[in-house]
Parts: sequence; C-alpha cells; structure tokens
Amino acid sequence: MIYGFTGVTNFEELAKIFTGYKITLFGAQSSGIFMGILFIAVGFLFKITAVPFHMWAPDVYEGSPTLVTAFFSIAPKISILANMVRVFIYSFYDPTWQQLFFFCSIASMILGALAAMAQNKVKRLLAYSSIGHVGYLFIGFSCGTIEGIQSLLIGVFIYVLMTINVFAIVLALRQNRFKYIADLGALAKTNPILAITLSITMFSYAGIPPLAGFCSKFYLFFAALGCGAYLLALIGVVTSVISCFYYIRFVKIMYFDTPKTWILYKPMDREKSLLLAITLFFITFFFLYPSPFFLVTHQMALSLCL
Amino acid sequence: MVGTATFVGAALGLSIQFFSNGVRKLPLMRHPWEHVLAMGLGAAFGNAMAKWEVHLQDELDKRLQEVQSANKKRFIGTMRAVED
Repeated sequence: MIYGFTGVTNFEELAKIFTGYKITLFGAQSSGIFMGILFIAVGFLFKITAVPFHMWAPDVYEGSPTLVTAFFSIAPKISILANMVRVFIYSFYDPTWQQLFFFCSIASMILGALAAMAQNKVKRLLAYSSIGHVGYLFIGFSCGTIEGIQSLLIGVFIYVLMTINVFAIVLALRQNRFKYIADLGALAKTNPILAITLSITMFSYAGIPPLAGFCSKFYLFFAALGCGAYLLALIGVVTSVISCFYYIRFVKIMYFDTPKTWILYKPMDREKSLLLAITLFFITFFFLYPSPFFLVTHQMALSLCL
Repeated sequence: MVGTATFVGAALGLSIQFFSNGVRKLPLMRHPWEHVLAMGLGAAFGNAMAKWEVHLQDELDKRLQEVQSANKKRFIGTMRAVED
C-alpha cells in the first residue's frame, strides 16, 4: 500500500516524502498511507509478541522444542526492533505512532507482570516474561530520541544475553523431565553452582542492582523521563516490582522447597557450561566496565537516527 | 592500562574455566592446560576491549563533531549559531 500511494520503497525517499507530512487518520492527506503504515506496525507487533498481539506466544513457546523456543525468543526481538527503528524513526517519524507504541508498551509491561504470576510451567513463564520485556524495550523505542534508541539497543543486548543464559539452563535440565517450575526444587542441593547462576539471572531479569538487567531498565526509564513520558517510567517501575514476585519464586523453590520426586541431573556438556559462564559473568560484572558498550550503542543510535 | 586489561582478562578467563568445570561437577583444576588457554584468551580479549574502547571514543568524538558542524551550517543566522 505504501508503494501504491507513494511510488517508492526506499527509506530515504520515504523520509523525504513524509517530512512535515500529516499521517493522522483525520488529518491525513492520504488514508491509504496511514492504513499501510498501520498494517506494517501491526505485523511487526505480532512478530515481536507485543500486547495486544501477543496471544500466540505462550502456547507456541510451550509447545515448541526448547531450542526453537530459545531461538525465537531471541532472534526476532533483535531483527524486528532494528527494522522498526529504521521504518518508524527514519522513514515514518510521526507522533501518531508514538501513541500506539506507548499503549503497546504499557499494556505489555502490565500483562507480562500479571500473567506470569499465574504460570507453573517454565516456558510459559518465560514467554510472559519476554512479553513484559518487550514492553520495557518499547519505552526506549517510543521515546523517539537518540537517548531512547540508545537505551533500546542497550536493553536488547542485555535481554539477549540474559535469555541465552536462562535457556541454556533450561536446555541443560531438560533431559531430566524439567517442565514445571516445581521441578527445580532442591536444585541448590543437587547443583549449587547452577542454582546460583539461575538466581543471578532471575535477579537480573527482575532489575535488581547492580546486575545488567538493572542497568538496562535504568537507562530505559531515564530515556522516558528525558522525553517527558513520566507515566511510562512510573508504570515500568511498578511492573518491575510486581515481576520480582515470579522471578524470586525461582530462588525460593530452588533453595527452600523439596520436590515431590527427586531428580538426578545429568551433567551438562562443555559448550553449554562455557556459554553459561560467559553470559553469567557479563550479567554480573557489566556494571564495572560498561563504557565500550555505551560508546558503540551511542554510535549506532546516531547512525540510525541521523 | 595494558597491565590492568591483561590481568583482568586473564582472571576472567580463569574464572570462566573454573565455572565451566564446577557447573559440570568436575574437579576445578581438571585439565590444567585449559586454564592456561582460558587465561591467554581472556588476556587477549581484555587487551582487545581496551583498544576497541579507545577506537570507539575517537570515532564517536569525530561523529559528534561532524553532527555539530552540520547543525551549525543549518542554523546560520539564528541565536544558537551566534552563541556558539
């Protein structure tokens, strides 16, 4: 539709056409362009599992093989967010889309926080957790500023590493019928190092300082405050606190619960152990040396926006 | 600077190898040559990160300079250009 109404598909040409162009529904010089951009936005939101287009995610995440679940809880987030920044910040920059993404961000954060509390299965919980995290990432995206894009890039990278870590643990435990959160009972006794690793990752997901997850949320909320989106930052903080419940529930089950049937975990392979080590050390020690990462994301944000 | 990066990188590499053995429930010093390899790789990584950071800072400064001069050209005649 965009090509039909504008005659171009090049991002730069579209940016020139839409400079100063009203894209709102009631003031639009072309409702066809508005509908085309809306369809593109909805398609991206479906793929990235943002509310209200998230319905498929928990069932698909639960039903798929764990490797597949790990792949599409990580890869589409990176690619779709990069795509959305190019399309909506570079070509179709307009306050109309900001309102849509504000709504999606708030709804994703709230649903991710509340729905995950009721889950007993690990993969479903991680699905709702990823929906919540998409909400946090959308805070940076919907600001539309360079600080917002930089915080989005920081958030994406840290989210990817935390998710790799948690899925490496799920994959390592999967060979022993690990499906429910309760199966983690007494992991602290059977494999204390793995229990500490999962605890640190869950604390990072919850945004507890000084771990990497806290740094990503810190920058996202500050970007929101910088562009005047105070409600977004407030809802982000409140939903982070609520989400602590189900993240710390993992820690409680591992350290204080006993399972109904004791599970003897098979040792994991070397590749997973190295992956766990690298991601764990990044999550734990990121706050000591974040500067190369901030420099590269600042450059990326400048390249994407200017 | 080089010393710190090398030391921290080597410590990180050694810690990763200890973690890898520990999480697999193996003796921590199993296959000691792997520890030496990990320390070497960690030291190389630490030095590479330090060099990369310097390079990134230079590039970012250049980029910001370009953006500032482009903005000055656009805003010629305004208060902002006069102040600068």
